[in-house]
Amino acid sequence: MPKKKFQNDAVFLNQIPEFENVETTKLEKNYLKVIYTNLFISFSLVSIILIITVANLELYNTGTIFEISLGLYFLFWLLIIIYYIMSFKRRSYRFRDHDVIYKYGVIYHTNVLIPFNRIQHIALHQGLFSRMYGLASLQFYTAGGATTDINIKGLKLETAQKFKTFVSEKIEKIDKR
Amino acid sequence: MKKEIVDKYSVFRKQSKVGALVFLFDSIRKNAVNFLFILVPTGFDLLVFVIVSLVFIFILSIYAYIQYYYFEYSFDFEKSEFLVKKGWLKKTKLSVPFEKIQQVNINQNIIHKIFSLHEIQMDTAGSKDTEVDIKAVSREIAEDFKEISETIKKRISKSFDKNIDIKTSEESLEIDLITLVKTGLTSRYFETLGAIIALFFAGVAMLNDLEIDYAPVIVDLYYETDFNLFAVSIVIFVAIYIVLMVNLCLTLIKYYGYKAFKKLQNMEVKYGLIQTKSILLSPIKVQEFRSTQNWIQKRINLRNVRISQASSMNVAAPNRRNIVDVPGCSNEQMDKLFDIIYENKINDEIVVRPSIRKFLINLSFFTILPTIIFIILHKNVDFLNNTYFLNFSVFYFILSSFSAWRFYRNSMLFYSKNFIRIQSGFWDIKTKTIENYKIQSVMLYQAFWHKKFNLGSIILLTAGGMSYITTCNYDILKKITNNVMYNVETSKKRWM
Repeated sequence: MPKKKFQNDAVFLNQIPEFENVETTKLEKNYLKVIYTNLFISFSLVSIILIITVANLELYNTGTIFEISLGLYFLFWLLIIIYYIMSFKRRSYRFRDHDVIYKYGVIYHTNVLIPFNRIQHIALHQGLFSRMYGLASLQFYTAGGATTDINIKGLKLETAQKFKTFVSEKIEKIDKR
Repeated sequence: MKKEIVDKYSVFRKQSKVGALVFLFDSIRKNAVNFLFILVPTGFDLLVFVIVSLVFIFILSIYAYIQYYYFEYSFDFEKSEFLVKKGWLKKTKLSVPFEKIQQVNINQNIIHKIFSLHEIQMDTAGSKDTEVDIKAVSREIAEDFKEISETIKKRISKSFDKNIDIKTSEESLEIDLITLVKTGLTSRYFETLGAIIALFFAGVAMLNDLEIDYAPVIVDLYYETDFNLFAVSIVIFVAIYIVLMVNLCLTLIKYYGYKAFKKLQNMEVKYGLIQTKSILLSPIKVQEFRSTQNWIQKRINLRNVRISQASSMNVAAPNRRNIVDVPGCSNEQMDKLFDIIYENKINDEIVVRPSIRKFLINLSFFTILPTIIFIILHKNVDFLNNTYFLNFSVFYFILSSFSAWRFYRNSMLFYSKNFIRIQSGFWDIKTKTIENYKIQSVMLYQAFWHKKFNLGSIILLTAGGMSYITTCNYDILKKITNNVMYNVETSKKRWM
């Protein structure tokens, strides 16, 4: 292997597409309702379990500690809701000619890029609540493993199907090349 | 392909009806542990046992039937895709292009044999799980699948043949005994030390099992022993000696007679004293070329190399045939290996280094914070209020800040037209080399508090694993991402 060389900009190609300047599409607004529904179900389940526990162990009283814990419990859920809304707002995607870009993340602003010629297979998922709002999610798998598999949730079913066909056709073309 | 087969499989088909039973037995096997959990509180009353079992099996039957009922598969021969529909509440449609199917396995377990059914599994490259698992089909359909997969395989091997170019040079690499001794004495300190410590604790556990009361002995020893320099250095000396000897023996037994040579377009590796191992390495499948060198090895021009190739994990995991280790070679020998495997050479490289913030953050979390805790403990806990503990704290402070500095200085990314090299480590310095066009996907991320400093991190994924570097100039990382994407998307070469 050669010795270290210093900064040498000629290694980078000029005039190639830049992913950071690409406009991305946000998820469908309706998907937020699916998120709310899921959160509500989790909230109800956790609360019911807690109520049963409290009732069984006779922990209920009107003391300050109990009130503070109750307040903290609701604050915790409020924070979770805010986090999910922020996370929803940060997610966006874009299909380019040769790859797909997915952006997400509240704390870590993340971009994942998968070229079509590295996609192993595609899956279209539809959960119970997503189906009520006519939504679907589209997942792309690569040989690189689950860390960077893109799963775009909250697409309209037609959009998801359209992109699935679009990518499938691209893959087929690449394989025949 | 025969027209009748095309017609037969172009529509969505369910599995064999008896297949629902296979699902049932499968879920019973998987849920047996849960069943025991339900059963334990019932106190093993016979009546309760029968009722619980019946309810349990009833629920599982419904579950199995739903799984069976909503599972459909078909082939789309026009688009060359295999399709699966599954799920009741959460519906999934899966499409796997024929070209990506690496393997079609047809299995039979006892339940399959009773009902003369077959299970069909399809694997694609890289991922850990079987992508498609058709649990139960009749013999006839299994036969058809064999035929279809043969046709698919032929197609794949045709496209494979096109890309092979045979390098004619005959090269080989041998590792002599002296190099092996050197390697044994200079590498894998931490791993062996870890193993010895694990053995030590196993020994302690055994003493516990034998109910030997050793605690007072140790406490006596702690108070009676005069922790003078001589005693401490003898203990350290013995520890180092054991680690070195264990390493040396293991290396010699494992790698004795190491030889790597070129065979047509592949490389074959043979080694072993007691049991000779032989591994075939196909350059097109190589995903990662990793070399490791520590401070001592650098002085004597020695390094360890590990070459990982891609393959379907299910098949390869048991004996780890995907990984070729080269125990000790010189820089020249490594270059020779590199040339055997890769067509291209590494040209001009750009060096990307992390920001000094990385060092400062590591320093504050792993050096300053623990040291403060040590000092507080020293002041407040009687047991630790002695010079030895103070010495230990000072020793820890020096060693960990030095490590943090080495860790920061050695973290580097080298970008060139065909290769990316990522270096990391503080004692054993690892350098992973990956070919740009073999990258599967790129992940680029930035913590929101790093935005104003224009810092970010990058993860590059290949079928051989991931490589990453954190806290670097974000603009350069973006440039690298764009260039990698361009390289991959314009590449027509096979990546495995």
